[in-house]
Amino acid sequence: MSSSVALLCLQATEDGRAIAQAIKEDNEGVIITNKPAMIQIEREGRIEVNASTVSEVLGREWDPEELQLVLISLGGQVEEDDEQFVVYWDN
Amino acid sequence: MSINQRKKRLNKKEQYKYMTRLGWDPTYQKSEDVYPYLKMEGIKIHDWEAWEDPFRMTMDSYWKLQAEKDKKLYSIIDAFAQNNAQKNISDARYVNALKLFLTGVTPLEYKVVQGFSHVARAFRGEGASIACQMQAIDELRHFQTQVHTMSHYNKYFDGFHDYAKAHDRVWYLSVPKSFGDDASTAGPFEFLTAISFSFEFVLTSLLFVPFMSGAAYNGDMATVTFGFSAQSDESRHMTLGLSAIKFILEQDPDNVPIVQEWMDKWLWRGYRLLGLVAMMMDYMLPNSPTSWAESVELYIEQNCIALYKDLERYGIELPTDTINTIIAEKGHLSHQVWNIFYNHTNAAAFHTWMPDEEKMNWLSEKYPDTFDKYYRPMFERYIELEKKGERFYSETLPIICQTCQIPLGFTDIEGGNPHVYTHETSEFNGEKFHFCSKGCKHVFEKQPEKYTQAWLPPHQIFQGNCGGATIPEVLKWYKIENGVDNLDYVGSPDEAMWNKLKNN
Repeated sequence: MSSSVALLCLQATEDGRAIAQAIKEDNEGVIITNKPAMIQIEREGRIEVNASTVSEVLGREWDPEELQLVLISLGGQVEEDDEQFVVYWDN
Repeated sequence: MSINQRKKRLNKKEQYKYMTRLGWDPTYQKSEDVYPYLKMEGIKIHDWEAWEDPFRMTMDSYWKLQAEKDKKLYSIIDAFAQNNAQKNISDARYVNALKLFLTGVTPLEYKVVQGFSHVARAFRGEGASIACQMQAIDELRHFQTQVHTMSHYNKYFDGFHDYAKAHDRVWYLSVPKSFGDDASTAGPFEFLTAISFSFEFVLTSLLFVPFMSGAAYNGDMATVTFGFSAQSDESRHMTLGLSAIKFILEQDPDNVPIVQEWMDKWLWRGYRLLGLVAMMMDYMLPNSPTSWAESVELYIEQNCIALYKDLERYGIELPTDTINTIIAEKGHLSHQVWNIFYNHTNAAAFHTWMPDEEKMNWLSEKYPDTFDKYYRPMFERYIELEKKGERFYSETLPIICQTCQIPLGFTDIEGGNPHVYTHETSEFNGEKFHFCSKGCKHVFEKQPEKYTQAWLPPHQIFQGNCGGATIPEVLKWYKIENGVDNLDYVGSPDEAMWNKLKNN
C-alpha cells in the first residue's frame, strides 16, 4: 500500500457536503476535516467518488463532471469516467 | 408552414474531432519555418500523436460548467456589493493582502494567458495545441474574475487604482514580474514545465487554497469565491501538466535530464515567489486558519514528494536539496518577508503593521521553535520605536537577488545561524552578482546570459530610469500617493475610513 496521501478539497456547499458524505461511505479510513469554507479530504493511496453514492445522498442524478463545480484542489493523479472520479498516487 | 427536420447531432468523439482538427501538415512552407521553436531546447519528440489532449472527454461539458461557475461567482459578487459586505470583513488590514494579490498575482495570470497562447501556436501536435489554448482561456477567466471581484474594494480603499502600471514599475512587484518574464521568454517546453507542471501542479494549491480559505475566515466571500472558482480549473491544468511531462519524458531518454533541470529550477523559482503568500497567510490575514508551515507540510512534504515519487519510473529524481531547504525555512520565511516589507512600506502600494499581542501569541503557537526566539524580540523593538513616534522606515534601497529579485533579507538557516544574514555571489564576465540563496545562484549559473539582463529596480532607480533618485520622485513614477497608499496602516486614510465605518 502506498504511503502517499491522496487529497481532495471541496467547497463547503450543499453539493460539497453531500459528496464528502458519499466519499465517507465508500472510502474506508478517509480523514475529513472542515476548514473555513472548505472540506479537506485525505486518504492513503486513493479516493473514489462514485456517482451512484453521490446521487443517492443528493437524492438526484449526479454526474462526476459536476465535481468541477465544487472542487477546489486535489493531490494525486486523476481518472474519470461516467461512473466515478478517482484521485490516486501511483507509488 | 414547413417543418425543417433537425439535423442529426455528432457524437462526442466526432464533435471533438471537428472542433479541434488543426493538425494539418504544411505543404508550401517547411515545417521548421512554421514551428521555429521546437528544436531550440534540445527536446526530442518522435510522435506528437502520442499526446492526447487530457481535456478531450470533457470538451462538450466544458463550456456549460465554466458558464455555471461564472454565473455563481458573479451572483456572489453582486450579493457582496448589495450588502455592503466590505463592512463585514474582520479588519481593514485584511484588504492589504488583496492589494498585493491584485498587483502581484493577477497580472501574472495575464502573462500566463499570453504564454499558453504562444505555446499552443508553437507545438506541432493538435492535442497539445488545443489543451494549451483551453488553458489560455481559463487563465483569461481567472484574470477577469479577479479584477472584477476586487473592483468593489477600489470604491472604499486606497491602493487599487493602477495595478497594471504598479506591476510593471514597483520594486517588489519585479518578483512576480520577473517570474512571468522568465517563463514566457523560455522555449515552449520549458514554459510548459514551469507553469503547467511546477507551478500548477506543485505550487498552485499553496497559493490559492489556504489563503482563500483564510479569506472566508475573514468575511470576504467575494474573494474566496473567485479563488475557489479559479482553483477548480486547476484540476484540469494539473492533468495537462502531468500528461505533458510524462509525454515529453516518454518520447526520448535524452529529454529526462533537460526536464529534470527545469523541474528543479521552477520548483525553486515558484517557492521563492510564494514567499509573498507566506507573509499574506501569517501576517496579512487578521484571522489565520492555517499557517505557512502547516501548508508546507501538506503541499510540499506530502503532495509534492508523492508527485515526484510517481515520476521516479521515468528517471526523475526528487530535488532533495531544494525540498530540504524549503522544510528548513518553513518556520522562518513568513517572518523574514514581513520584516522586509515592514521596513520598506514607505515605497509600497499597501500598508503594513506590527502584529498585536493576540497575533503574536498565535505566531508563537504555530512557530514554537522560531517565533519567540528570533522574531518576537525584533518586532517588540519595532513596537517600542513606534510608541516613541519613531516608526522605522528604511531610507536606502536594498540589494536584491539577481534571479528572484527579492531583497537579501534571508539568514543562514541551514548553516545553523538563523540570526545571521547571508547571501551568495557569483562572477560572470568580470562582474559580481548577488543572490538571496544557493537555489537562486544555481539558477543564475546555468544561464548567466539570461539573468544578467534582469531589470533590477534599485539599479534602474540609480540609473535615473524611474523618475528620479529620491523616494518621493520614485513614488510619483510608481503612481503611489505618499501618505495615502503607503506607510503604516496606523494613521492611514484606510484606517480612518474603517474606524468611521465601524463607529457608525
